[in-house]
This record gives sequence, C-alpha cells and structure tokens, in this order.
Amino acid sequence: MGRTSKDRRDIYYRLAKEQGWRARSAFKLMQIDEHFNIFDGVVRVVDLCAAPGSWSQVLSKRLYADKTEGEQDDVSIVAVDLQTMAPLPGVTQIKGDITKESTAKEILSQFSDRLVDLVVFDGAPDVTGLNDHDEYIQAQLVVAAINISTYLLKPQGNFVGKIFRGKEVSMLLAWLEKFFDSVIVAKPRSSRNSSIEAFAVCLGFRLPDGFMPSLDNLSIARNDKRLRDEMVVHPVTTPFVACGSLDSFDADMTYPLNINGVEYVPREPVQAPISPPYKRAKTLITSRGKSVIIMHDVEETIINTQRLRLE
Amino acid sequence: MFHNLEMGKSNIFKSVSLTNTVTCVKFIDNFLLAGIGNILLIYDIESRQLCGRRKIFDRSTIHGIQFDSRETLALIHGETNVAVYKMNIQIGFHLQFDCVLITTDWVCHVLWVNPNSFLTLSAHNKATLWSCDHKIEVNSSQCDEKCILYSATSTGEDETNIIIFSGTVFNEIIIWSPFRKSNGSNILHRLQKHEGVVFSISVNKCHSFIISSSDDRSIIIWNVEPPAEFQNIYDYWNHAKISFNYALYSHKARIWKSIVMESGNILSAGEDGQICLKTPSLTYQWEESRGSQVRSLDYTEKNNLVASGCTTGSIGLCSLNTIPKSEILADYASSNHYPKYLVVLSNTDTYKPLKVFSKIHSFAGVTAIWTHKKFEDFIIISSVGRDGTHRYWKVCTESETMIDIRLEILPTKWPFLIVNSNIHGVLICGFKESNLIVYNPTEQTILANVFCGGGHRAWGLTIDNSCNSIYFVCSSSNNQLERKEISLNGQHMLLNGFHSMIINSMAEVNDDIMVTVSEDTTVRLTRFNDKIHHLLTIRSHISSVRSVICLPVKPNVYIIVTVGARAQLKIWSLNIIDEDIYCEKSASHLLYSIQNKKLWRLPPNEGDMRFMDVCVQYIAPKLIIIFIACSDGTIRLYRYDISNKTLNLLLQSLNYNCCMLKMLKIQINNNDYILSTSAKGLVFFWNISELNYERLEQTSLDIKPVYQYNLHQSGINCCDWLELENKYYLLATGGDDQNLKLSVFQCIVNVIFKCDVSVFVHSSQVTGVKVFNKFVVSASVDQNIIFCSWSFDMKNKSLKLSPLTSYFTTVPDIHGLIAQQIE
Repeated sequence: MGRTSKDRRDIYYRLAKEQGWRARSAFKLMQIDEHFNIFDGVVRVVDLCAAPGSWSQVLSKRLYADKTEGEQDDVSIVAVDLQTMAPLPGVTQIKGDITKESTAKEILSQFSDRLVDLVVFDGAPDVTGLNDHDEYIQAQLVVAAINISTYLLKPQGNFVGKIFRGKEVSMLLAWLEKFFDSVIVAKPRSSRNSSIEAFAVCLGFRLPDGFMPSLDNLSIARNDKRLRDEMVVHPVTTPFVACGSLDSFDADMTYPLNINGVEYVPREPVQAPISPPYKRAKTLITSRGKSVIIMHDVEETIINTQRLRLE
Repeated sequence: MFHNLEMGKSNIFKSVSLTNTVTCVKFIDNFLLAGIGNILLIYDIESRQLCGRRKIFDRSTIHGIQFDSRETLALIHGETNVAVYKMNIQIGFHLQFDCVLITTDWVCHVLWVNPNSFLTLSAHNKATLWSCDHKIEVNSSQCDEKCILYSATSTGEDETNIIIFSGTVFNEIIIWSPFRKSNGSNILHRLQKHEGVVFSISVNKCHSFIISSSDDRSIIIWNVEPPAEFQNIYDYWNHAKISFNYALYSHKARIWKSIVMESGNILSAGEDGQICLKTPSLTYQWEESRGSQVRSLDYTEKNNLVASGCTTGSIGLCSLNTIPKSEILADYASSNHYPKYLVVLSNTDTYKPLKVFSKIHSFAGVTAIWTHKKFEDFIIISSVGRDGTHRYWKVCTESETMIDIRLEILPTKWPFLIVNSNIHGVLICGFKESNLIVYNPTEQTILANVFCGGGHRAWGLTIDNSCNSIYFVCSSSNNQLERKEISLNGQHMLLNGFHSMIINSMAEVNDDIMVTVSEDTTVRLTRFNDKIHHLLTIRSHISSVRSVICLPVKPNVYIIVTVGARAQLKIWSLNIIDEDIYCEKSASHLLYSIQNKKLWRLPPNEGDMRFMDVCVQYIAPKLIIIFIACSDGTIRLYRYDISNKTLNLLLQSLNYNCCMLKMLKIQINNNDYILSTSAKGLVFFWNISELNYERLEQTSLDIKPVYQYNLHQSGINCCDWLELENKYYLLATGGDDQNLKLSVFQCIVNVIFKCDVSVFVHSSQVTGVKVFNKFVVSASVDQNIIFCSWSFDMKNKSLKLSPLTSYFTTVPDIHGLIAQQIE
C-alpha cells in the first residue's frame, strides 16, 4: 500500500493526523458530545480501554487544556488500559484489567474516593470474523465496563460505550436500561455507514434496587420465552440518533486530497501501532509454504516445506 | 435450563439451502458431521454423499460437537446452547433429539463425563456439570483464573477426575481441575509462551503432548513428562512436568485450529486458507478454496482423512495417504546435459496468421493453449503465459475472427501447461518460486503445491489419467534425478464454496441464474434451484465489486454491468446456451486509468473513489446509458453502444456532499427517473426521461436532481418503489438509523411528498427492502427478515405499517435481499 492510499480513502483518518489525534475515533466522541453535551459540568471522568488514547486526548483537551488554571485543579481524568500509552496533560494512567476489583479501587483512590461524573469506553476485541463470537466478546467488554462503572459512577452519572449492532444487541441494550434513566444508540457521522459499530449513550445512572456492585455480573441472559416464539416481531424501543452536524464530513464519501484550499501533505500516524502479537511471525514467515521451527529462544532451525523424501 | 421441546418447524418459512461459514467439522465412524449456521449436515465418507440435514438451533450457530466414548450420544453446542442427541450409527446415521440446554453464558467446550452427565465450560472459565437424566445442574466450579477464553479442551473419567485446558485472551493456557483442589487452588499448571490469544488446544490420546495455536501465528508443542506413579488422571496431570518443546511457524496469518495426531504429527489451519501437515520428515501445505479462511478442521485415523471447513462454505475431504510423494530416480553428478523438447504443431506452408496479438502475455510469451468448448459457430480457447494470466478467446469459425473474451489472474507467474484430467477437468500447471503448482481454473482451487526447485531446472511432467496422478521429474540441487507423484484424487469437495468475502450485491439473470458480486473481487454466475450449482467465477476486477445489474437484450442474451472500488466499471455479455453459458467481457473502464500502466496509481489529488451502485436505461435499440452512484457524492453517466462495444463517460453531476449509496430506476407517470440515496439520509430524484438519442449528441448536457427529500437520519442502504392508483407512488427505504420507512408521493405536475410512516422493528441497520402490494419485506444486520403489512388511506393521506412476522437467519451482516411474489 502506498503512503497516501489510506489518506485517499478515509477523510477522518487524514483529519486525525492533521489535527494530531492518535486515532480517528476522537471525532466520534466529539460528535457524540456535540449532540448530547456529555462533557457539561464533568470534572471527574474515566476512560476505560483507553489505548492508544484518542478518547483520552479529547477528554484532556476539552476538560483540561481548554479550562483556566483554577478550573484545571478540580479536573481529574483517569485512563485505564492493559497497555501503557504515551502520557497526556491532565490524564492519569492506570495499567490494569477492568474485570478486577483492585482496578476499581485504584481508580477510586485517584479521585480520593469521590464518585465520577462520566465513564467512557471505546474498547473492542481483535475481531475474528465469526460475527456471533465477536459480538459476544464486545458485549462482554461492555458488561465489564458497566460492572466496573457500578463502583465508580455517581448517581445520575453518564456512560458512553461502543457496541456492535448485531443479532443480540437488543438484549444488551435492555440490560443497560436497568442501570440508566435513558439509553440511546448513537452513530456519529465519523463512523462508517457499513460498520456495525455504534455507541450506547447511557444517561442518568441509578443502581437497580437491591443491586450490589459486582464484577461477576454476566447475566445479560436471553429471555427464554423470546427464544421459543422467534416469529413474533418485537418492537425496538431504544431510540437511535445519528450525531454530528449534517455539514460535518461524511465518513463514506471520497474527498480529493486537497480540501478547502489546503494543500495536502502526507503525514505519519500520530501514534505508531503498538507491537502486534504477530510481530515475530511476520519476520519469520515471509512467503507461503515456508516454515520455521524455533527450538529454544536463540537457536533457530529453518526447514524448507515440501522438500519430500522417501526414506 | 433444560427444554424437552425440539425446535418447532415453521409453517411459514422453509429454508431451502444455506451457504455460510463452516464453523465445525467432526468425524464419527464412517460419517462426517458439519455445522453451517444452525444447520447440521451429515456426510457418508465412503459414498461422499450427503445423508442428512437437520436444523439444530433457532438462532445459534453450531460451534462444536462431542460424542461419548460409546458413540451413542452427541452434544452439539452453539453460543449459549447445548443440544443433546441420541445417536445410532449401526445402519446409516440416526439422530434422535433428547433435550436442549440453554445456559447464561457462551459455551466454549463440552465433555461427556459419563452417559448420564456432561460438563460445559463457559467462556468465563466456569465449569458446570449437568445431569442428563434429571435435567438439572449437578455442580459448578469457577476456575481461580477468571478471564475470557477463546478455546478449551478437556479430558475426564469422573467428577473428581476432570482436567480442563483453557486457552485465555491473555495468552495463557490454564490446566485446572474443576472439582478438586490442591494447595487451595484448582489450577494445576499455567503454560506461558504465546504472545497472543490462544485459539485452539489439542491433547493427544496418550497425554504425552499438548499443542496450542495462537494469534501470534505460532503453534507450540508442549512436552508432557508423566509422573513415575499415578492413580488417576488427576494425579497424572497434577504431577506431570510440562515443558516447552518447540514453536512451529508455518502460517501467514492467525491459526484457528491445530490438531495433534496419535503419531505426534500436527495438522493446522488458519486465516491464510492453508492447511498444514507437519511430520518429523516434512511439512506439507495445501488449500481448499482460493482466498478463503479455514475455520474448522478434524482428522480421523480411519483412512487417514482430514476434513476442513472454510469461510466460503466449502467442506473439503483430503486423504493424507495421497499427499505428493517423492523418490530419487538417478544420480547424474557426472553428466550434465538437460533434456530439450521440440514440438511440431503443423505444416504451415499454406497458412497465414489470421490475427496476431503482440505481447499478449507480456514479452516473456505464451506458454500453452487449450481448446475448451465448441459451440455451433464458435470455439472457446484459452491461453496462459508468463505474465501469470489465463486469457479466454472466442474464435468464430465462419468469420475467422478471434476476440479476447476475458482474463483471469493465476496463482502462478509461470504457467507452462494446460492439461485435461479425468476427475478435475482442465488443469493448469505452473511454477511459483521454487514450487510446482497444479491449479484447477474451473473451481479456482490449487490442487497441489509441491517443492521442486523451480522452473529453471531441467524437468518433465506427465499426467496419467488411468491412475489420476501427475508425475513430475526434475533435477535436484545435489545432482540427483527426483520423481514426484502428485495424486489428483486425494482432495475431494463434499460441498462447494461460494464467495470468500461479503457479497455486496446480486441480480437475477433469469428464473434460476443469479449473478453475485463480492468484496473478494469476483463476479459469480450461479444456478439456484433446489441446489446451488456453480457456473462461472470471473476474477478480473482489481478491487471490491460493489454492485451488479443485469439487462436482457434478447432471449437468452444479457448484458451484465459490474461496478466497484477504484472507480472500475465492466460490461459483460452473457449468452445462455441450453445448460451451458458463454460470457465475454465487452468493455472495461477505470476512471483514473491515466496513461499509466500501473492500475493502482491514482492522479495526485484524487481520493480513492468507489462506484457504489449502478442502473441502466435503453435510449435506442443498441444504445444504453449507465448511471453510476459514486462515493464522491456525484452520479456519473456512461454511454455504451452494444453493437461496437464502445463505452464513454458522458457527464458527471455536481457533488452533493455525501456519499451516494444506492440507485433505483423508477417510472413516474410514464417518465423515467433515477432515485439515488445518500449516506446522509437523502433521496434524490433525477429526471432522465429527456435523455434521448438527440440530446446525447449535444455537448451542453447536464443533469441535476429535480427533487430531494430527507427521509432518514443517516445512510439509506436500500430502497424499493411501487406504483399505486391515482398517480400515487410508494417508496420504501431502509436506513442505517434502523428505520423501515414508507413514503407516499403524488405526481400530478410535480412529485409531491404526501405522507410517510416508519416502523422501528430492526435493532440494527436495515439493508434490504422489497415492497409488494399490501406488504413489505425487510432485512437487517440484526439477522431478522421481517414482514409488515401496509395500507394507504387515500382520503386522509395516511399510511399504516404493522409488523406481521419475522424470520431469523444465521447469515450475519446481511447486505441485501431479493424477493419475488409467486402467485
């Protein structure tokens, strides 16, 4: 792929680099805010599964950098991920697993045990291509994010999380509605039309009666009745909102490289990708049919495929 | 929770056939079971025939099958469900439904502990023991390491002797026993070496090896050193020493499945579509379908067979007895002369070339020619050459003309032979780097890929059709003469596959032939009746093909227009000749094919534009206009002359600042219009009734939408149109905003929007809609196909839309729908 090919294809990818965002997803959070004003009055906020950190960047800019020095003192932003990411002004990083209670405690200690106004979550698994499994894993990440949020969110606090609009999404939304006054499915204009991704904007947190915060809560179990009468049509009650103003860029549209009279300059991504699991394999298997055996970490034996011998 | 009710049969819907990823294959005795969506297929291995088809779940996809040791019981699991079946395989294959268990979490793995109870392992690493007799939960245990699992396997004798091997999202393999603890923990071993998610784990029968495959593209072979003394399985695994033996890298992408055989040989398959066999003396790789991923794999000692299932929906069966063999014929270290061949084609003193195609296969030349089919007045021949392409030609016998009909890109840059085989038909042999490739161009599969040193050595090849083998003799690097035997009947397709990626669009050619186009860059012609019969795959677009339309020219003659990414447009003509088809490329166009041979180069300031959808309109008997919805927010018009096959761009509309998604040709008061929909929820009406032959000759041609309406919040993915009475018209649209909308327009002088109605019944984007008199069918990514009834009250200008019923399909990510009403 050429140096400019991704820039030619995707306006938001290009804009993210021009404006210094670590990923194009920064625009998604900003467009959600454009519609829902989720940052209004927010001083304590948690970004779950933050790496590479584009949402934290938005939080840092909007809630910290844009504020006066006096206001900055009240602001507290915590970003949680298993991986470390490059530091950001006003953002405290915690390296931890969101399914662990210790992580919840560590986050709260950052806020001197005061509950937070907003939790945002933009995590997603490495998709495997088996849609049912990918959707399940994504739903489990949302469940983990909500579970930890039950420790963190103040009453009437808000949550924004990435969901996959697959076959079981109504089940997940129904589960989310137990915890919030209102749940809205939001699709920012910077998210592609063809993508199954959307965002659950959950407003007005309240713990259900008798609910104890727990990280073991997994049951977005299916309604068994629904399973048996599959042919009945169930109306969808969760509202949908496309957010971002109509004159914002269209994620599916092709734009020329020079837009609005600004000359295009190819740029490197703001944040280089973190080391992928296949880093080692990539250097070893350079062509199809080649195979390599590694006995110990140092010693390498390379064998040629299809070199067949009959003894 | 257990249910005794077997899945009810619907009186309204009947699934005729399903092509989907094969998520599971499993051998038992002489049978192979395969899971495709929620359907279980049963094949007899000896006759290689389908001997059963059964719907197992309502909504879940089958992910695994386990039998008890006596082979009388089967557990079939998918997502959160487990179905229990009694099985009789003495005479034929009989499955009898027992019950279905609906759990609250994803089932990762199941195990029969004894004929009355089984174990399920959830994706959160929790084991539960269930009684089949009493239909209750007996016991459950959470592993001390609680995290998401991507794979697991287990072994067990009784409740206290169950060992589970869990492959975690955090790169670990946890070996634990659910109902027994030692030193306060139920974890026995943690194996850490992988650098990515563990996708599969396999343990050999005598428990001496564990092998695992991962996101890091490696297979790790772990040695298990048994304890000196042990009483039971628990003892064995508790005291066994497990150590890293070696890591095997042989795949270019993630490895979904790996199996260790009794012999210690390893089989693996993955995202790169390769199936790899590793024995102490060799590694051998083969593939099942081109461009596909292998999703499921199983092996049986009986007949040494491997079964594999792909994302194309194909199921392959391969005998390991027939993998290519090699033997040394002679050592000729002293002599050093290479054999050379000379073939006399014909006595040419009276012949002159009819036509010369210079450098048609690049400067390196044509290497082989083959006669394919003889029709009444023309012959189809094909040629291969050193540019790595396969070109088809039509030779008209009467007019003695020869035309280039289409081209296919081969998996080898150096094809050297086209040959006919008994069981696979025409085959192409070629070299790729240092390997010999045997390719089936009809099925587009590689039958063999064997190391031979490459084409620069001395070699010879012969095909023996009596024993279905190819013999290849070559000189080897150490001055020996080697013979390879490549068996052609080793691989067998139980079920043929379809596209390897998303199908973007489809169009009906006639009552039973359909043309489909896909992200995998191919265009496929398929006969759909009670079976899916593959007719032709055209691999010639340089990128994703987005849309297709078919236009009848005269009986059995059609024009097919395909458009796609990289702003590419191709026109094909299709003749249906009895059971046979003939297809040729009539015109091809790349918007940005500036005088540059490198197709992938774009002009400096251009974005990478995609053609999204296409419509066609006759304006004279032999002249059509092609309308294209473009991702740069415009529509483009092309003029195509059928008789002389010329294609040119007529004009381009203004840019409407949003990606155009779909297009539909409609008629309003006998005037032709084009509807186009956009990613921002707008519908544009373009009046094309005045685009006649005379106007095309004028230079000042222009096109503007005459009306535009905002109907959805965001992208409109599908639309349909129906004429009502009294100049009323109905437009059905489905959007990314999950809305199914009906709008009524009236046209007396102008098209005026009258009223609309929406239903919110889909929980994901609506991607297919078809409107009929009184009802409308819609399909969505939520996998529901919903039927709604509609009515229009002309007096009060009000529309009603009410849902009737829905059908759930296991096809994920639905991209469109075609529906027909049969009286």
